[in-house]
Amino acid sequence: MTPDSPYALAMRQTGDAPERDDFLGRWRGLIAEAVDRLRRAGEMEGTNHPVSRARSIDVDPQKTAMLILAALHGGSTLSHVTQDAWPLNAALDMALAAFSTPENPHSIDAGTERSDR
Amino acid sequence: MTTADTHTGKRLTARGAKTRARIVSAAADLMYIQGVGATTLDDVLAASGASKSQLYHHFDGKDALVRAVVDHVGQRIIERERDALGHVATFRGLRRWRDAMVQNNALQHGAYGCALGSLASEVSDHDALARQALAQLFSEWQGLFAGVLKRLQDGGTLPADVAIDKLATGLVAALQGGYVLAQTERDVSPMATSLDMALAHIESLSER
Repeated sequence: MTPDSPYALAMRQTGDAPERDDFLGRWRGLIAEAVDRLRRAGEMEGTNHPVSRARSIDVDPQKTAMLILAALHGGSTLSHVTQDAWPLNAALDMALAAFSTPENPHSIDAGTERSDR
Repeated sequence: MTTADTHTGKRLTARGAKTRARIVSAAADLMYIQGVGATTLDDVLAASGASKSQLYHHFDGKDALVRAVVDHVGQRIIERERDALGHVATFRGLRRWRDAMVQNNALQHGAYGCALGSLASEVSDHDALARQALAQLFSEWQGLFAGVLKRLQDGGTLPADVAIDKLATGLVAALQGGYVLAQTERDVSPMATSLDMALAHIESLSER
C-alpha cells in the first residue's frame, strides 16, 4: 500500500464520528456481501474441494467481514510503524484463512515462513 | 540522587525527574484523549502545571515529548501484557486475556482505543525515532503472543507446522483494528468480534 492509495486514504481518521461510523459500516457491508458470495460459491463448487467446502459453509459473513476490516486497520498500523508490508500480509492471511485453497493450505492459514521478506 | 534522561542524556536530580515525569504523564493523558495532533505544548503546560522553561529544559520540542510519551505508554502496556500473557499456556488462558481486554475497553464504550495504537496511527512519517520505538514495542507485544502460541505448541495443543510469528502478528493486528472499529462505533462489540474470530481461527488449527 502506497501512501496515496485509496485504502490508505480510506483509513485516515478524518470526518466527524457519525460520518466515519457510517463509512465503516458501509465498507463492512460490502465485504460481508463479498464473503457471502464466496461462501455460496464454495457450497456449490465445493464438491471438488472438500476442505474449502467444509470450512466455508460455516463462515459467518458479518463476523468474518468484521475481522477482515479489523485486520486491514490493525495490519496497516503495524505496517506503517515498521515500514514493512509483512504485518498487513500476515493479518489479512489470518482473516481470509477460511478461503484458503486445499491445494496449498499452508500458504494462507498457517504459512510457515516469511517468504515475502 | 540522579538518573540519566534517556533522550537528552542529561543528568536529572530527583526533583527534575519528578517534574519530567509529571510533564510526560500529563502529555500522555492529553494525547490519549484528544490525539497527538490536537495536543499543543500549551495544553501540556496547563495540565501539568509546569513552566515553559521547565518543559524546554527536558524537551527540545513536541517531537521529543511525543517520543517520551511513546516510551512511557509503551512501558506501561508491555508490563501489563507481560503480566497477563507471560504464563498463559492454554486456550482458556487466552480467552481470559480476551475477556479482560474487552471488559476494560467496555468501561469507556471503547471511546479512546488502545493508547499505543492511537500513538501508532498518528505518529508522522517524518518522525523516524518515534516510529522505530513503536515498532519495537509492537514487536515485544507480538513476542508475548508468540510465547503463548509456542507453549500451546510445546504442549501439543497446536500442531508443530503452525507459523507462530505470523499468527501472533495477526492477533496484534486483530486487536488493534478491533480497538479502532470499537472507537468509531462507540461500542466494544467490534473489538470483541474481531478477537473472537482471530482466536477461533487459532483454535481451529488444533482440530485439523
